[in-house]
Amino acid sequence: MRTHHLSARHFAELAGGRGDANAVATLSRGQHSIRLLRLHAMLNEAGATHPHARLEASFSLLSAVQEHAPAALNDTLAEPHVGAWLAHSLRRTRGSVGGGEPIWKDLGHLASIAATAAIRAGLEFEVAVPVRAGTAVLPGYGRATVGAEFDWVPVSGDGKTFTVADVTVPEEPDQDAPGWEGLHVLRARCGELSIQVGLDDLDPFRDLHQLSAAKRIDPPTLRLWQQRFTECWDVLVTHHRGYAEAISAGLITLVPLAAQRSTRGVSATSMDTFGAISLSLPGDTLAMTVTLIHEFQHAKLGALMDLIALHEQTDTTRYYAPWRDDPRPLGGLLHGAYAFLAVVDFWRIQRNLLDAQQARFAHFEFARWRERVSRVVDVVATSDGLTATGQRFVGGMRAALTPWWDEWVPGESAELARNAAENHRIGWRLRNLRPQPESVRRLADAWLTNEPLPVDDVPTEILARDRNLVPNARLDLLCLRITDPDRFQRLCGDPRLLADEMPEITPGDVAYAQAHYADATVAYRKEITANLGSIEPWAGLALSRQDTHGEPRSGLVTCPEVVRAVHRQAYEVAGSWHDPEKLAEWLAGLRPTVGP
Amino acid sequence: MAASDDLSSPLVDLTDVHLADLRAMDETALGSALRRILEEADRPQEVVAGFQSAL
Repeated sequence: MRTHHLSARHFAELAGGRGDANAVATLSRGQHSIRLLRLHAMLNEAGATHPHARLEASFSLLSAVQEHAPAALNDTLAEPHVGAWLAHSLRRTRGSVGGGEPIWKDLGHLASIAATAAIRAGLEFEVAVPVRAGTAVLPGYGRATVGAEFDWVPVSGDGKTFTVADVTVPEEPDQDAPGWEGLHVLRARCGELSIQVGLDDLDPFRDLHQLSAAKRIDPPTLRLWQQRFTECWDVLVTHHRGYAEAISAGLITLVPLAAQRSTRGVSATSMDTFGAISLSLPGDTLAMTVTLIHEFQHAKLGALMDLIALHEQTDTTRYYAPWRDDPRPLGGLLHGAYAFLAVVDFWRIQRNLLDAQQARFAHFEFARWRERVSRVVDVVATSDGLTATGQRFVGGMRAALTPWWDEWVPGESAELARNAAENHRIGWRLRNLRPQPESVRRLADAWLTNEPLPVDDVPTEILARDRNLVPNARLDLLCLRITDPDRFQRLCGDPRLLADEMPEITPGDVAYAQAHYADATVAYRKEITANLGSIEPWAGLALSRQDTHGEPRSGLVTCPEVVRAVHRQAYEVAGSWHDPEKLAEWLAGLRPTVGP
Repeated sequence: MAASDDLSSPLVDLTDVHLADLRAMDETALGSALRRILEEADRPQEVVAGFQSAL
């Protein structure tokens, strides 16, 4: 059979972080084939074994839609949450995931998809769709409230007017009507380039990763989304045209997430839902713009990897990713580097457009992501896990980055960028590396008996962990110093206000952010002994010492996880705390065996 | 760049396939792409790519 192809030009564009509308269209066609393959596999697995899911009737209707109006079928299959449902339902039929609903109800959702396609096609039809929590959802259309007493309700139409049970689907389905909640639609135009995306707070398969999808959003919040989206589109089209064209060709749906913290935005992209981005309402226009650029990079790369293998699936090595708190596999590392490559590009442009105050932050973002992405590209390029095509792809990423190293960054922003990188690296070592207990015992014994270092290095394990986002209050406060100096001063001068706005902040952090490094060192020392299991004060102590004494080779910096483990072991043996800095000096000769 | 640098995917192109024909296809016709889809379905789900903006 014929297979998909990708032109060398599109591949090169994508590798450089870009890719025009045609490249995105090629990726979308690949996703269409993947979805049909999943449909085929799911029907083969479940068609006979789950008759209650009524799959055959749904499939017949889909076939009729294809006969009558193939574009209606294709558009429906392109709906991101149809992709989510297909991946989920195949996993359910094979038993690799469970679900809150009976399996017939999950699989029966194919009827809802078929009904949506039939409405799009303007067919005369009738099909029964499953009811969830008293509602029936037509993906990409809206939700009818039909009553919890039913398992199934009919969707029918004469080709012009359609009903779900006794609820009439309005002519403009994004509008609310009696019994009907329309899928919100965001629209924007800048010059000749327009975009229309769904803001989906309805689909039952929009949050399979349990990211706290927002429930039905109210009209004022919807207006805020529209306003921000309009402003974001102006920035994208005016200053980041290439990304805008790609996004307009591939983005179909935004899924609003409940915000986790007032000062942070969270966003995500699933590899099963090409065309969708999940995000909390960003705090401002630039935050939304950089989020859409970042997330759509994941979508492009995921779809490219569905076409062409860039790395071997058998590689089990875990790596340091400077943007995550947990160790990452090679594919995850590549994903992050690719997404942040575009973030570097975004701030590279943006820093020349902003006023002096805002530009300081843009310089900082440009500098820190340029540094981090470049380091990771080096790591990925030298790993054994890349395929030959993967090598070619990473070469394209590097070629995009190289000229950006000729660009100037002001000293203060460059220093903060280095500091942020160290902050993350040291914290990552402390959280993810476990020094061999036997070596730790030997080191503690030698320390307590005033002997020289008994080993040159400590075998260290990288712990496999689930994702766990660790808020970094110290870094947040430090960033505030350059992004909003007035607010920074206000917060530092008012402990009660600071505790209210940044509950995790400690006295050491406040001293550190104000560059009072000696005070910070004293405070962090106290925090370490006050809480036996603490991690962050160790990172704070390492950073404060580094900035006070300029001692890059302290054990606190090179292998803080060993210093912390030996410090604790010595306490458990001797029953008293030992000076962590002296211990770190003694351990400075150790050679790190793993990690950054 | 020469056309020989174009990339050929192992993914079968189902763009113009009729659904009824798709049902009738077996694993031989759909090849390694179908096997990969099934292997993916059996693996633990990769956590979605995520981004937390400090803005």
